[in-house]
Amino acid sequence: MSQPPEVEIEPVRESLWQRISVVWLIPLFAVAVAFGLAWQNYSEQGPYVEVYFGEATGIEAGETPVRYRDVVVGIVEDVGFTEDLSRVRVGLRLQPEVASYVDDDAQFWIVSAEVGPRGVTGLETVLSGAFIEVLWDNNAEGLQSEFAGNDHAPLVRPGSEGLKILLRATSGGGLVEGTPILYRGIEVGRIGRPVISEDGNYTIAEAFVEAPHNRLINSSTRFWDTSGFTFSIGADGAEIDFQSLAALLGGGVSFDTVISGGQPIGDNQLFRLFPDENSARSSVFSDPDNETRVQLMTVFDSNASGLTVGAPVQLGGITVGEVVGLTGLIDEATFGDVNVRLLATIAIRPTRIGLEDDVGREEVIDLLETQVQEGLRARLAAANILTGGLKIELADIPNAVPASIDRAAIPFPIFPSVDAELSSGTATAEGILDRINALPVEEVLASAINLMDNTSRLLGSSETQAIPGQVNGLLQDTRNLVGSEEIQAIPDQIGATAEAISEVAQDLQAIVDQFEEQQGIERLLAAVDAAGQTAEALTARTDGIPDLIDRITDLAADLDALDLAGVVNRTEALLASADDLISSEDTLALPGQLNAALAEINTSLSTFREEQGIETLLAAIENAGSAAAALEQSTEQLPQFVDNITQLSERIRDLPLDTAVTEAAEFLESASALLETEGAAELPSSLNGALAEVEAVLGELRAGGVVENVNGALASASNAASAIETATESLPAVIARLNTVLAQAGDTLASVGSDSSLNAEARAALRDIQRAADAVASLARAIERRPNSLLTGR
Amino acid sequence: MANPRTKLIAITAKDAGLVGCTRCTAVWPLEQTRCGRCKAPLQSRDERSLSRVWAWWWAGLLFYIPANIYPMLITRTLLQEQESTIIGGAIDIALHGDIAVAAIIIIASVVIPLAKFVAIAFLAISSRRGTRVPGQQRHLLYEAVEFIGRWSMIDVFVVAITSALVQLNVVASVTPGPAAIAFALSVIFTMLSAQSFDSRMIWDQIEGDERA
Repeated sequence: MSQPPEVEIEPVRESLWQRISVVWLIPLFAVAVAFGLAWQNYSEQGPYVEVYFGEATGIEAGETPVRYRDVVVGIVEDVGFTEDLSRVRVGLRLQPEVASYVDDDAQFWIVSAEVGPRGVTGLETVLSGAFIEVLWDNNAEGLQSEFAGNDHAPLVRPGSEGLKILLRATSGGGLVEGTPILYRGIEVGRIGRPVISEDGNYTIAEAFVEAPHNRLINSSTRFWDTSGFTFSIGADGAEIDFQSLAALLGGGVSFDTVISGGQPIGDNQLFRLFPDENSARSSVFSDPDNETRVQLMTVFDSNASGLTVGAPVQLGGITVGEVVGLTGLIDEATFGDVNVRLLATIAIRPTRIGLEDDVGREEVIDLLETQVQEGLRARLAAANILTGGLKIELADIPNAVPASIDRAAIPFPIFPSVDAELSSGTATAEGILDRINALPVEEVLASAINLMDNTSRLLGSSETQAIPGQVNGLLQDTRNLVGSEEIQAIPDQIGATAEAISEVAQDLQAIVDQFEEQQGIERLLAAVDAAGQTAEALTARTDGIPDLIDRITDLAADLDALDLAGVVNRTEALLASADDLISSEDTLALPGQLNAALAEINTSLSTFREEQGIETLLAAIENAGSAAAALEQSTEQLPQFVDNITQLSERIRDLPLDTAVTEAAEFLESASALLETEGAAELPSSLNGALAEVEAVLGELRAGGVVENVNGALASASNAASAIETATESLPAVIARLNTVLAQAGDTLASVGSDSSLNAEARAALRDIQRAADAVASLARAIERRPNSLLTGR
Repeated sequence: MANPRTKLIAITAKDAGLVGCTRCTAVWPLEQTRCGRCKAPLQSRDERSLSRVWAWWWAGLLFYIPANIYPMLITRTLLQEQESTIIGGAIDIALHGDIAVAAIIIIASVVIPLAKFVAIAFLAISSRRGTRVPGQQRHLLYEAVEFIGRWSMIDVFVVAITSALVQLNVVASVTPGPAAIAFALSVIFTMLSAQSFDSRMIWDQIEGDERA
């Protein structure tokens, strides 16, 4: 076994590089990288500045950014307090590239969402949270490490050009931070935070007008508040004014350079803020520093209600001044009484009447004095009809009482005045208003209301509303009636009737012609002559007639006293029944039948004419003429006859007619009952039948030569007439006998008393008549049941 | 001296002048520098082991610092952006009431990495300077470090998965912060450090003690 080689106990000491593992490079590299990063971080880190705020709303360390023109330039690193805890200390880490600009004029403020009259600002901070905004100018002047933060955004942003002014207002209404300054409606600047002036009388606010609008402002510029709107009623009428809707809501300040000649101004010039545009513009005149004013006094006797301080003083329509004071005045020495007068103090502006601004007071009064001597006077005039406002007018009064300016008056010279001449327009308008006032409007309205109520009630009643329906029904019925066949048929029937009548007329004409041919007229005239002679004879003997008439009159009066009313009523009922009867269908059918009957008559007449009945008639008339002559002779004895008749009438008047009238009334009642029965209604149809029978009979008559018989009868009549003629010759004797008979009758009647047997018999006779009427009534009932029996006889 | 059991194990391969191949387990004389069978380099003891251990250890420790300083998770929601470090996030969760989850995070991300650093440092120092702690316990400690090392990456996995899942664009998104990378590197370096340790040195020290 070979000896193993000697083991080297001590290993060769290796070099450091050999012993150190390359793995060490890794931690070395890591350390290098770490140091590198640390160095980079440190070298890139910007400046740390501390800003002190009153409160740190929404500021969070490590999160809240710092922005310059809305670009993040840093971040809040820590938030703490000052040593006495009075303010918040906010540490900011800014980016290095802005470091040199964060110099003295850098301003820091906190931006958070804010809702104000100008709208919502900082809306982006609602989500992202508040941030700190910083502004500085463009000059790098070295880093500052401590700043006092603003509570609000600065009015004047560093670096912006413009004009910074101060605005003074008596009330802070128009001075609100952030209120825009408007020029002709365009925003040209803003108002800063107002503060109270040292003496406490004003509020003063900084305002900044941006270039180039700052050149619009000079020493003559006037500022006024356009917040909200202004509403005023003055001597010039009502006025409402506002600048814009934004200004209405959020307010605003406007300005204008009212007069020329202003001087350029520098920063921090103080301006007064007027409450409205009018006062701003008129301030040019009212500002005592600005223009000389000459104060005068004037005295008015009349009522001056409506004149106020500030009312215009006008010369020829141009406002040359205003009323600056009003007071009462009692001056017994001047006016001779103790009445209270109105003393108005007015301020006249010389520039307004054409004088230079720098004229002296005396020169102005001298000028006015000249005018006064030519008739210039002060008087009250209506400035506004509606409001009754008054103004003072300087007017040339022709033929004015000479007067002058009282220069000696204290405190101001007194300007002469005349009585107020209120325009007639005012009086007329007042008169119209008075008359309108006096109108009885209430009464008219009450009546109108009543009328409308009644109309409404009438129109609303159910009866009124039913009218149209009833009218409709009526029209419907009328249409049905007119459209009925019966009515339609009537014209035809009437036509046929007229035709028949025409034929009859022709026939009659023929008869008359024939009559004329045979000198019937002459004969007729002879007969008439005879009748005339008879009449004369009668006239001669009518002496007793008036007496007779008197008696008849008495009789009529007695008859009048009788109970006729009942009779009349019943008669009316009878007529009503008759009316119903006539309106029945059968009655309507009558014309047709009549037609036929007329046709028959026509035929008969023509037959009669053919048989020369006329001549026979003429003969009869001739005989009648003879008879009339005979009568003429016999009339001589008429007076006696009349006397007798008169006596008879007297007797008759004494008769108990009352009972008879009653009975007659009963009879009429019965007749009415009869007509009211159904049978009566059917009578027309029966009559129709009867007419048909008549027609048939006539036909038969014509066929049976009745006309010849008539002719015979007429011949007999002619004979009878001649016999009468003969008889009349003996008429005087007959009349004498009649006289005797009448005398006897008169005696007889005289014996007829109320208890006489004749009276009793008369009553019995009437009873019989009554019974007969009853029988007729029963007959009528029978006929009602069986109308045919009237014709058939059964 | 004291322990009879250690006395029983008296001779190591090195004592016997031998060296074993760590790959194919063949035994060679100490002089042999390369295994005759598998050609793997032979080394009785890795003299540079400790150096590598310390190098990785330092690297791991360096990266562990930013892993705790920088945010692990960046959570963006609609209105805000939140950056959570490991400990800050754990505290937040604990304040929300999830004590268990907070405890897991604290243990996995803080306690265990720190314990690994301490354990590795202890093993390295003790193998050079000696200790009273028995070799068996130190070996158990070494094995525990080896075993647990791979699980230390669980934090990084959680961050990666969360970031991948919660990407709702504007409404909410989660992105891993720089600490995630640092933590991952720290874990990797720590594992490498533990791997670099030659565990046989634990026992050499015992031998030395006994000899002395």
